[in-house]
Amino acid sequence: MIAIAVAEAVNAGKAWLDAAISAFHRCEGAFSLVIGTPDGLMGVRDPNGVRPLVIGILETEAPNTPTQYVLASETCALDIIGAEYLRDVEPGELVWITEAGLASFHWATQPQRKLCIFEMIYFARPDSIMHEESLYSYRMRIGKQLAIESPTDVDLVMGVPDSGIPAAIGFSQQSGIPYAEGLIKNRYVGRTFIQPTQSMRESGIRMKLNPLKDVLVGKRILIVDDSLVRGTTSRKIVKALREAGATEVHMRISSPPVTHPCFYGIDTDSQDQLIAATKSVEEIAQQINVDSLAYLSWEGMLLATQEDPNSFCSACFTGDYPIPVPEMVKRSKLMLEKQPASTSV
Amino acid sequence: MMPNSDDCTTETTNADPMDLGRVARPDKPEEACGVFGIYAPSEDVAKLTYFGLYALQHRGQESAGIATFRDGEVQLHKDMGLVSQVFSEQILQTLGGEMAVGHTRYSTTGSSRVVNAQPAIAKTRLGTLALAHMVTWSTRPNCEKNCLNLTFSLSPPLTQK
Ligand code: SF4
Repeated sequence: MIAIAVAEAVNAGKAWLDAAISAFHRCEGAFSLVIGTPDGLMGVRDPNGVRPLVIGILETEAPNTPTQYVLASETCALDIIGAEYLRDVEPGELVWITEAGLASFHWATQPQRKLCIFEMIYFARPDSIMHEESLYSYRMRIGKQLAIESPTDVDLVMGVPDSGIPAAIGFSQQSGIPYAEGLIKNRYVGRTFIQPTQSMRESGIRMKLNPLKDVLVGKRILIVDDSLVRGTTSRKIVKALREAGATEVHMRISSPPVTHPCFYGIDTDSQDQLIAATKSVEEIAQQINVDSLAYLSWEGMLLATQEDPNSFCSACFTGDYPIPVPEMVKRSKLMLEKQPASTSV
Repeated sequence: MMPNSDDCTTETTNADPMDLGRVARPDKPEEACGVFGIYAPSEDVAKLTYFGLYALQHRGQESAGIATFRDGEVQLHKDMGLVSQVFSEQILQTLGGEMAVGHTRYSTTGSSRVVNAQPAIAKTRLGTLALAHMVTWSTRPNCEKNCLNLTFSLSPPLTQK
């Protein structure tokens, strides 16, 4: 859609930058984008900077080469090619990279940083840098926070691989309960497109996660996961841990309950599919069959960022959408919300 | 559609750990897109973009694409699949130039088809643009209307599958 809007503005007589900026002014939403043109490379973030976009520099030995720039969703993509992180593209900023270097334009009238907090909790790779530290460090801190908020007496703390592990290590450090690996991920297969047999399917999660019986047997386990969306996988994991001999299974989630769908580029389910939108914590605990269940508090999640709490979007936990969502779009996913008075009469 | 079956053995550490292949939808929110862009006249930009996308594979596993610019001429290859399945050495050799744009996508809306893969290409009076984005919707009413009235053509993949 934006490609068309930019092309349209160019064909109406505008130069690349004017065309792009006028197109961005006409289109709202959450976007981070990269545009290649015959004259240069553009990187843009929406006025709220919901999705990340970083700039890197790629050094070269080659003579007479202009500064070489890289744009990427996350810093892990700079690391892999040996580029140095320079800075983030700011919310509402456009960078224009040409032979002459990098030019910056602040095109948005009211930029206000609202970074997706889920990027920090789960989406982005743990080795990506945000706020001058790896997300691994943030995820350890939310694990510590979780241990402060919801301690329990168990023998071992473990994480759901891979995304629950940093928070589990943080939980272990804070609580003093030993950390162990009790689920081993099958790391070497990649994604398979072959359907498993019916009996494999019934055996649950083992294709990707295999429980370590000798670690688990006779132990009271606390398992940390980064989020709980529908609960279907958690149920299978808990079942596998119990079958492997765990005597108690407690679950801690290093984010608050997801009660609202995302309209900014993340595919959460529609609201009626989100387990926390319809069920209480006790009901969820019963459904996934754990001895206890606790979520990180919303305050704790933001506190652990060590940044201005107002600089994040956390709408999927609160329903407080920082960028207005059009009614039609809203209705497609927010079926549990009361419709505004004008339409419900 | 999946040219390199042997690439299925490639490690994709960031694929959702809970995904039972394609049997069940992962019980996690899924990221919509990863984008990458590079301006580096002294480098093999196609290959660097490939590795950039490879590092961003966790942000979208449905399709991948790279567009390169050489003196204003655009070369594009995109297809359904993981980055390692969509590209081979041969395909990357057909791409090249001083600049590149790349994209990995997980589709949230619309059907899973190659035409939805990015980068999107649009021809203009100033030459072709290639755009890789993560975006969900646009609200300004006149944008919807004008955009729909506009005729533009999505180039077919220029390189062989
Ligand atoms: S609603 Fe949730 S997932 Fe979506 S952008 Fe906001 S914090 Fe991120």
